[in-house]
Amino acid sequence: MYPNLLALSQEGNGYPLGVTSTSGSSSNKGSWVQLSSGLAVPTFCFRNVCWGTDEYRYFFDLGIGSAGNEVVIAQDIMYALDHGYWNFAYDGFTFPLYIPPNVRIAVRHKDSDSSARNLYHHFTFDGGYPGNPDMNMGIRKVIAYGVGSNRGTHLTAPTVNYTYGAWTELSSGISEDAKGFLVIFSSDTAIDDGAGIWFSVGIGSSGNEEELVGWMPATWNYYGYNTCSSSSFYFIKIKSGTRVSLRYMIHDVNKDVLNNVYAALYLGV
Amino acid sequence: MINYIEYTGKPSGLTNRSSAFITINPGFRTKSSWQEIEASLPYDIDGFSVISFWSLKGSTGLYDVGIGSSGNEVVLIANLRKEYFDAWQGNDHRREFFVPIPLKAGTRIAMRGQGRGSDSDTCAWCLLYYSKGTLDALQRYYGISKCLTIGANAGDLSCGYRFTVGASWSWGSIHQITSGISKDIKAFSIIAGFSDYDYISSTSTYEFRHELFIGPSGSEIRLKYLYYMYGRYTEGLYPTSNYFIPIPIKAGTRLSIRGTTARSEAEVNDITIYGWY
Repeated sequence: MYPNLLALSQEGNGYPLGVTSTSGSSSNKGSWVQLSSGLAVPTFCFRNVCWGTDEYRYFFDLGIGSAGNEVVIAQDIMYALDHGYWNFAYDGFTFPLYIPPNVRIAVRHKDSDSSARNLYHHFTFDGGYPGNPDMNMGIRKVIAYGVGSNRGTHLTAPTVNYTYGAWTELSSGISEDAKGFLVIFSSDTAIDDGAGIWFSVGIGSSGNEEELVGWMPATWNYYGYNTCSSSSFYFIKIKSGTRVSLRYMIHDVNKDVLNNVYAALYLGV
Repeated sequence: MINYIEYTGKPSGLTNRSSAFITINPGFRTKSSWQEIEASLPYDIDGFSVISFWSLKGSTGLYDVGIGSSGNEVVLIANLRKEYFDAWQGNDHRREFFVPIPLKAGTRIAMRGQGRGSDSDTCAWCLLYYSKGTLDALQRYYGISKCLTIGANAGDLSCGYRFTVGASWSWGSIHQITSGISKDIKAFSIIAGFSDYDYISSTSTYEFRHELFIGPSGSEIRLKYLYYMYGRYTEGLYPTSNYFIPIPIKAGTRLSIRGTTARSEAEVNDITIYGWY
C-alpha cells in the first residue's frame, strides 16, 4: 500500500528538494540541473514554488532520466515574478504527476529576457493528491499549449463588466487524450488596483465552443506586475484532437489589467 | 481502465462548473447566519472545491459548509480556514479547497462564517463541482462521505492549533495537536497559517517546514513533511492548502507537530487538519 510507504519515506513524503537552475541566453532553455538522483518510492504528485530576483517570466521543464538523456515529463510551466514584493509565484503549482522510483529527476528553464537568469526551484513530491495512475486519476506527463514566446497567449478582452470576452484558441487540437488540465495566467503590466477576473474553458470548434468550466475566479493582485496565477488541476477529461479555448470576464472593464491577460494551458495525460 | 469517460464534447448531464459566487459577512468570532450558495445541485457530483477569491478587508476567518433546507442545515465541513493574504490592498488571494465528498442532485448547499477581527468584512466564495464520474475512482477507493476537523480554533485570535516553530532552521519542540482523533480517517488535508495576528512586515519571503507526527509522547513517528512559503503582509502560508494526503489514521491516534523556519526569530504557526472519513 503506497500510503504506508510514503509515510515512512523522506523524499516522496513531502520532503522539500531545492535547486537553482540558470536559463540560457536569448530565451533558450538552460542546462538540466539534478533535483534528485531518484526517489525511494513512487510518488503521485509534485508541488513547487519558484523564486528569483529578476522580474521576468520563467518557464521550467521537469525531466526524468540520466544526465544527457532527460525526458521532459512536465513542459514549460510558467512563472511570472513580480517587482520585488513577492519574489515567488503565489501558491505554486500542483500536478498529480506520477514519478517512478529510483529515476533521476532534473529541472531546466528559460526566461523572457535575453540574458541568463537564475531561478530557484523548490519541489515537494508526495502522495498529497489523488494522483495514483493505477486509479486512472494520476497523469504521466504535462503538455503545455499556448505558452507563446514569453508570456502565454493573449486573451481577447471583454468589453462589458461581468460579461465574457470572445473565446481565444489555446490549442486547435490537443495531441493526446487528457485526464485533466490546469490553467496559468500572467500579465505584462502593472495593475492599478485589484481586479476580479473569472475565466472559462471551452472545447469545440470556433463558434461552437462548449463550456467545460465556467465562472472560475483567478487572482489578480494590486501589485500584479508580471503576476501569475494558477487554477487547480481539474480532473476533467478531454479527448485527443479536441480544440480548446479560453475566455475571461472582469468586474470592471476600466481596470488596467484589461487587455493584458495572458494564459497557458497545461494538459495532464 | 474503468472510469474513463470518453467524450469529444460536453457529455449529456455532465457539466463541470462553479456555482455563482456569493458574499458572506462573517460574524465577529461567532458564525453568521447561513447563506445559500446553491439552491439545488443540478446533477450528482463526486466532490467539489470551495473557492474564496476576494474579500473587502481580507480578514482571517473560519467558514462552515452545510447542506440541507433553509433552517435545517447540517454542517458538512466545519471551520474551513480562510487566511489573510495580501488584503492590504483591498484584495485577496484566490484559494481552493478540495472536498472529496459526493452529493446528490437536488442538494441545497449553504455557507456561514466568522471573522477573527472586529471589523466587518465581505468575502466572496464559490463552489466548483466535479460531476459524477469525474472522481469516481477516488470515491470507489476511499468511500469518503464526511469531514472531521482537527485543530480549528474558533474562539481565539488564531484559526488553528498554534505552535512555536524553531528559528534559524532548528526544530521547535513537538506539540500535541490532539491526544487522540475521534474517528478513523481515510485521508486528510491540511491548512496551515501564520495567524500570529502580527504578520511579518518584511519584504522578504521565508520558508517554513513542518513535520506531522503520530504516536505517544516521546515515541512520535513522522507521518508527513510539509513545506511552506511565507510572503509579505500575509497570515497564511503557501500552499494555501495541502490537498488530499492519502494516509489513513486510526481513531485514538495522537497527533503532534513541530516546525522550523529560516527566520532568526521563533514564529507562531498554526495548523488545522481536515480528516476525510
